Amino acid sequence: MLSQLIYVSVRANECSDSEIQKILESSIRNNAKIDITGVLLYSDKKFLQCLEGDYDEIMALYDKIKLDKRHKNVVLITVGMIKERFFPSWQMGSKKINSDYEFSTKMSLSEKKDFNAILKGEKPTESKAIDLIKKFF
Amino acid sequence: MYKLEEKRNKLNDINAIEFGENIQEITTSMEIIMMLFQVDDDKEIIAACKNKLIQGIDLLKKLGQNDISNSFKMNV
Ligand SMILES: Cc1cc2nc3c(=O)[nH]c(=O)nc-3n(C[C@H](O)[C@H](O)[C@H](O)COP(=O)(O)O)c2cc1C
Repeated sequence: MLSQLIYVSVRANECSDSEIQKILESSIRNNAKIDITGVLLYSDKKFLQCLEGDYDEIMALYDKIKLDKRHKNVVLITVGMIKERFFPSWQMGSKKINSDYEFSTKMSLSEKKDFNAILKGEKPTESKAIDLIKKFF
Repeated sequence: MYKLEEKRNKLNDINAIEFGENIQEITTSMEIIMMLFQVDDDKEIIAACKNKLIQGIDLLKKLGQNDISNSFKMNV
C-alpha cells in the first residue's frame, strides 16, 4: 500500500554538514533497494523528512531512523495512504533551508520547479502534509 | 488499524521527548511539538502535546531563573 510519512526532529549538535552528506549517501543507496523515495529538509537546528513507499517499509525505516544519534526528539507528524508519489524520482532529495542551496539529487528541471513552487507556497496541493513542508522552516 | 498505529506512534514520540538543558535545544523541541499540535485534532495527542509544552516552559523558566541568579552572583 503506497503511503507517505512525514516526521520532524532536532538536529544534534554533533551532526555536521558532512554527516548530512553521509546520511544522504546511505539513504540513496538503501532507499532505492526498497523503492522508497522522498525528501530530507534540514536547517541548522531541525530535520523534516518525507518518506514515500510501501507502508511496512516506511514504518520499518522510520523505526530505524529514530535510533540515529545524529538527531533527537523525532516526532511523527503524519502517515497515510497516497495515490501517487510527490517525489517519485528522488531516492532522497535534500535541501538546506534558509540559505542558498543546490539540490543534491538528479531530479528533472520541472520537478525542481515544482518543489521550489511548493516551498514558496505557489503550488496548490491537497496534501496538508506537503503544505506543512513549506511552512516549517 | 493504521490510524491507531499512527496515533500510538505520535503519542510515543511526544512522550519520549527529552528536552535536555540547552535552551536552544529546548526551544527547537518545543517548535517540533507545536507543529504536531497545530496539525492534529485528536484529543489525546493534543493533550500530550500540551503537557510536553508546559514541561518545556517550566524548564525554560527554571533555566532563566538560574541565569538571573548567576548574573547576580557575578555582580556582587
Ligand atoms: C535525519 C535522518 C534521516 C535519515 N534518513 C534515512 C533514509 O531515508 N534512509 C536510510 O537508509 N537511512 C537514513 N538515515 C540513516 C540511518 O539512520 C542509518 O544510519 C543508515 O540507514 C545506515 O545505513 P547503512 O546500514 O547502509 O550504513 C537517516 C538518518 C537521519 C539522522
